[in-house]
Amino acid sequence: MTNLFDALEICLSEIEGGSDLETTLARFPEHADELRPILKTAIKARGMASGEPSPDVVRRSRARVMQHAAELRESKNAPRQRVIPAFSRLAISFAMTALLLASSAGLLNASASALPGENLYPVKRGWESVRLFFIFDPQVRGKMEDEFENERLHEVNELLAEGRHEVIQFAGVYMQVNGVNYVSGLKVILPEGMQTPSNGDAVVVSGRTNAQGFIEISSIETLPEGSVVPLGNPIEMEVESDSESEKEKAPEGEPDSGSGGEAGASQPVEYELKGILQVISEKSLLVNGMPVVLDQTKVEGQLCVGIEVEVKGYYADNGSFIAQEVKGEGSCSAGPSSGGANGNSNSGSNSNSGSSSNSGSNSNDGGVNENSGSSGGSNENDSGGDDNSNSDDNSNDDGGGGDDGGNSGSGGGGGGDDD
Amino acid sequence: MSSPSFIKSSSRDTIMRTGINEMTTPKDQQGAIRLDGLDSQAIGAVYDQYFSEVYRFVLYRVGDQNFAEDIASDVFIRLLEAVKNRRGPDSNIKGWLIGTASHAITDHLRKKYRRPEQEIPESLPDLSPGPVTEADQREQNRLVRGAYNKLTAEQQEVLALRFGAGHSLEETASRMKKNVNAIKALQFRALSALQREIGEVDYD
Repeated sequence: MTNLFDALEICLSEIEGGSDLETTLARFPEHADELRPILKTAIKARGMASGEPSPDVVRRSRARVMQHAAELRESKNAPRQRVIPAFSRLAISFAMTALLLASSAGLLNASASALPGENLYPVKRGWESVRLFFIFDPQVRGKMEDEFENERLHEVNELLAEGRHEVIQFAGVYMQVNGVNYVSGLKVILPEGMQTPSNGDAVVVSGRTNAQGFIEISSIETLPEGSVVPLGNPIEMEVESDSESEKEKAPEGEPDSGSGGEAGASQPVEYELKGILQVISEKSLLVNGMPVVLDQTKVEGQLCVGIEVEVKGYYADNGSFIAQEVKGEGSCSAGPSSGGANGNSNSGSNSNSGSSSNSGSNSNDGGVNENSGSSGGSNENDSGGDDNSNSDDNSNDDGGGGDDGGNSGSGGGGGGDDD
Repeated sequence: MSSPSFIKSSSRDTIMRTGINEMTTPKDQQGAIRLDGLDSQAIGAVYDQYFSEVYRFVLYRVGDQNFAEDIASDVFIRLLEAVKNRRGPDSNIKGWLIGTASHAITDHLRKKYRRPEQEIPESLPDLSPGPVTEADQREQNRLVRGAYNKLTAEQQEVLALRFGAGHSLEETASRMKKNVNAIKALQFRALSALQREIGEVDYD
């Protein structure tokens, strides 16, 4: 026999499953009367239950719970903050700030002399960007940018001086002088086939420094006209070529250069100089005020003061101009000032000798004359020159040849010869 | 109850032996593990699975939708706090939720009794707005609600679990930490008391 409590439970389950009240009660006739009002109440009690919560309720509540979860996650991720009291926190932040300032100042100082490829170089460049970022006055900003561009050029100079291989980029002025490319005074090597800018263009070049003191360019970009770029040091060649009215020429127009065999391979740059020959000495000439050193020089034509000459040569390491080839243009007889100084016969008039005695350099005339069109008398001078033991110079010989006793005692011997 | 240190099969055996239909236990364990990181997906899954049941249980007890919504939401927030503080449920999330809800209801009712003037039984019929035929249902619910509120807390609890949350006898037994026979007797007395209350109201 089922007890009352079990019967109620069975009836509740069956009614919940959809059974009819009386059908269920029929299973427990002995409890039916007692269970009937209770089951009716149970049905009422069950009816008091609501269905599923409305979607609004679910959504609102869900959002609340999820938000709380997010807050908890955040506080879980930063659990230590509560451990540090407010005062300590303040002190710590002061200390951190001080440390940061101190260390960053030191770092910036250390990075100031950094060169490309070094560890601190990015710090240096980064700090430059930071400084520029906070400057809004266009004038000050432009000045600072110029300063930084100069720094780039300086860095490249340092790298070249140290012979280091580093990737660099800088701005400068492009120049081509005698076939050599320069950017702001630094020698650069352009790759084959690259279009070269015009002289004086402001350019930005990228490339590498090499141990030979050149910059191997990988790209060159011409800046718009009016761009301000650092000029760098003046090109050395320009300084020397500043001599007046002298003409420089690129070597390609020189088919004859090979004939001056002594032109060393180490002196590739050949210059051509045209001008009036002012002074002639045995080892040097003065052309348009510029000294020209004669050293195994090939001479064409006659040279005399006042004629126009064409000189081909090169600059030596010490800065002097060495002539490889000197070519006199025009005849010496046409020269008004030289007169008969270069006459073939040395037995000229006294006036001649007088003219030659005008300056010490006149004796040189004779020397050159002797070279070009020597007279037979010179040989005799040699023999007669024994008296002139004071000097073995041509000038003395010359004097002996030229002055028929008209001169001082030294010339006496010469005169005797003539007789 | 199964201890969390048990492996799954043994914990299921325990459930079988005690005759408790608790097939959700393994899932609960998984849920508890995933909840540890307060992962929003895991929390969402737990919420979706249990909110309706908790809400219906609470609503049955308090009889007010707004209070029920607040209390049910609080229950889940308490769950999050507990998980964060490592005091969360080891294995049985659903049992933990209903138990917590029961405590929250008790707190709520205690406050409510201090200020009984806020009790407005007339608002109760709003529970099930619907067609004209439900007017009678609403009136009846109002009567039942009045009678239900006069039951003891334990009687209210057992009816809320059975009819509100829709728990089985076994589930109810485990929630109320009583054996099945005690629950059978308890629900019998609860319904008898309710019937008497309703009957008194009826005859008044």
